[in-house]
Amino acid sequence: MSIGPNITPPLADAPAADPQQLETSRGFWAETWLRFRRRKLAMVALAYVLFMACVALFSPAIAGTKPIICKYKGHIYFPALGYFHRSWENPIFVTDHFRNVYPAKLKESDPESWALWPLVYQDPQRRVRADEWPDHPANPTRDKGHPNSLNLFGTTRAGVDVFAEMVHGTRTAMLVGFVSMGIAGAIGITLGAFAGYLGGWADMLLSRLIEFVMCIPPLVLILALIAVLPHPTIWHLMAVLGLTSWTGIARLMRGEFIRLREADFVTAARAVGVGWFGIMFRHIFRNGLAPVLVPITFGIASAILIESALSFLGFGAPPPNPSWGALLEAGRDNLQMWWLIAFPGLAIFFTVLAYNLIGEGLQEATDPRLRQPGN
Amino acid sequence: MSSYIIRRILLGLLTLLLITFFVYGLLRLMPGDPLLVRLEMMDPGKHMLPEDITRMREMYGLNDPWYISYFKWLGKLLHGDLGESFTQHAAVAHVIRERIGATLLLTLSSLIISYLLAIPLGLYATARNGRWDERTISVLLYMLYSLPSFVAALALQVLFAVQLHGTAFELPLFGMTGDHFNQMSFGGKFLDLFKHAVLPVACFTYGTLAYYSRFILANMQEVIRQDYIRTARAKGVGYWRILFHHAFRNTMIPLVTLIGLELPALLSGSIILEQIFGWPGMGKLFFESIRMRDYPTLMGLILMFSVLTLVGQLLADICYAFVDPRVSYE
Repeated sequence: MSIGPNITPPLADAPAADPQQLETSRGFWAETWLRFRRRKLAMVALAYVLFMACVALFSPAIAGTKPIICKYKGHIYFPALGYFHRSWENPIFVTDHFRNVYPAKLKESDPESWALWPLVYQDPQRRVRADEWPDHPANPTRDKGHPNSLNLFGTTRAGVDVFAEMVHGTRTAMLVGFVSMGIAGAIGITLGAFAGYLGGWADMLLSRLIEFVMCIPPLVLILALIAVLPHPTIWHLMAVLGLTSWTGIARLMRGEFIRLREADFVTAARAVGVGWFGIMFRHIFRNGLAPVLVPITFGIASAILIESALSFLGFGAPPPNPSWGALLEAGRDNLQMWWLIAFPGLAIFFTVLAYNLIGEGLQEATDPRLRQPGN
Repeated sequence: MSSYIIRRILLGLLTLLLITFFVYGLLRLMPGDPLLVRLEMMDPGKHMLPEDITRMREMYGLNDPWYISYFKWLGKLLHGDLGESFTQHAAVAHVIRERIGATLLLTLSSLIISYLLAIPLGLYATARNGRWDERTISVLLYMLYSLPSFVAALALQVLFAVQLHGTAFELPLFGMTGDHFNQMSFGGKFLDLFKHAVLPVACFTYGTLAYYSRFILANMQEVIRQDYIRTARAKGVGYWRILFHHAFRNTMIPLVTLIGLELPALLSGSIILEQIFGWPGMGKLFFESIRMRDYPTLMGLILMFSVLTLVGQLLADICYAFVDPRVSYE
C-alpha cells in the first residue's frame, strides 16, 4: 500500500488557501488550557491556589516579628528568612542577644539601624508581649483572645496570634500537597510505565505490588511509618504521604502504556530506531500524561486533608511547625473558642475544594469523550 | 467462573500473608514497646523490679526477633486464635467483638441514610438538569464532598454542644451513652443512644451522600445520552418511566460495585470521627492500640481490614459479572 502520491504538496504552493486552513492546529496542551479556561469555577479555584501559593511564599513578609530587611551595624540582613529555616537567620542576632524581639533591640544596639517590617506584627510561634511595638498591648491569653483589630483571627490559649499561625501554616499546606504528590507521581508514573510497557512477568510483579500497597489501610501505614522515625519532621511526613498514595497513579499510567504501546506512532518511532527509553518517556509518556494529572490534583487535595488530620490527631509535624490542623486540635479542647475552629477549618475546606474543582476542570478539559463538536 | 474465584482466593491468601508479615515487622520496628509505654504511664513513685520486667518481656514474647514472633502469631492464627490483648487482658477476638457493634451502629445507619437520600437526589438532579435547582443541589453536594469530616464534626460540636447549650436542641459531646444508662427504661435508652449518635452519624453520612449523589448524577447523565433512551423517548414512553425503568437500571452496575468496595469501611469505622466523638468503636480501638503498642490487637484489626478489603474487591468483581452480562471471567 503506497501513500506517497496522496501527500499534498507544501502549503506554500497553495496561495488560494484561506488563512483558516493555513493555521496549524493547536497542540494538546493549548487545547486543554482553552477548554479549562471556559470553566469559571475551575479558574476561580486556580486563582485561589495561586494566591495561597503567594501567601505561603511571602508568609514572613505578611505576618512576623522579624524585619524583612534591615541595616544593622553597617550590614544588610534579612532576618525574616529565619521563618523558612532557622539557619537562614544571621547568627549575629543570636550573639547580640536579640531573643527574637527585634524592634527595641535594633535601636538599642545600633541607633543608626533601619528596618522594613512585615505587614502584621505578630509571631506564629510565640506571644507578642506588651510594648514590643508602639501602641501594641500584649496578646490576650486563655479564652480572652476574641478576634479584634490587632489579632485578626484571635489568639490561642498561650496568646499566639491565630492569623500569623495560619499565614505560616499555609506554607505547610502548600508544601505537603506539592511535595508528597511529586513523590507519589514519580513513583506511580515510573512503576506504572514499566508495568504497562514491559508486560509479562514485570507487569505481573508490579501489579501484585500495587495491589499489596492498596490493601494496607493507608492510615495504618502512615501512622506506623511515622512512628518508626525517632524525630519525624514535616519532610518525613510528606515522604510518607508520597510513599503511600502512588497506587492510583500507577494503575492509570499502566493502563495508558498498555493502550499506547501498540499505537501507530510508537511503531513508527520504533521503526526509525528510537531507543526504549525515548519511546517510553518521549513518545508514550507525553501522550498518556493527561489522565494522570487528574488523580494527581485530587491527590494534592487528599494529602492536605491527611496532613491536617494527622496534625489534628497529634501525629503531625512537631510543634514549631505551624499547621492548620494543629490549630484545630487546640480548638477541639476549647470548643467555646470558636475562632480556633472556624478560620483554620474554612482554610482547609476552601483549599481542598479548590484542588477538587481544578481536578474536575482538568478531567473535563482532557477527556475526549466530553469534547463537543465545534470545540 | 469458579476457577477464577479459586485463583483470586489463592492470590488473596498470598497477599494477606505478605501484608501481615510486612505490617508485623513495621509494628515491631516502631520505637517503644508495650512495656516501655506502660512504664511511662505508671506512677513515678513505683518501680518495677528488673526480674518482673524480664518476666513480662518473656510473657509478651518481646525477647524473640520479630520474624520469630510473627510465625508464632501465624501458627496461633491457623488454630483460630488471635492471641491475647496486652492492655485489656482479654482475647483479641473478644475485644474486637465488643467494639464492632458501636461501629456498625454508625456505619450501617449512615450507609442506609446515604442510599435512601442519594438515589432520589441523583434522579431529581438528572431530571432537572441545567435548571437552577439542579445547579444549587450540585454546588451544595460538591461543597459537602470537599468538607473534611473532622472540620464538620468540630463545627457541629460547637453549634450543638456549646451554642445551643441549655436549649432543647443541645446534644451530648462525647460517648455513646449517657450516665445512668443502665437504669433507663427502654424508650429512655433509645432516646439517649439516638441523641449521642446524631452528630457522629451526620458526619459519617454527608460525605458519602454527596459522593453517591454525584456518582449517580454523573452516570445518569452518561446513560441518558444513549441511543436506546432516544428510542424509548421516540416511541412515546413517559419521562419518569424512562428515567427509572430504562436509565436508572443501567446505572445500577457501578452502584453495586460501590457497595462491595464499601465493605471494609463498614467495619473499620473512622479513626478521626470516633476519636472526636469518643465513640467506643473500631477506629478508637485501633488508635488506642497503636498508642499502647498492643501488637496482638493491632494485628487482629489489620488482618480483619485486609481480609475485608480483599473480599470486598472480589465481591465487587463477581457482582459485576452477575449484573453486566458483557463481563465474563471465563
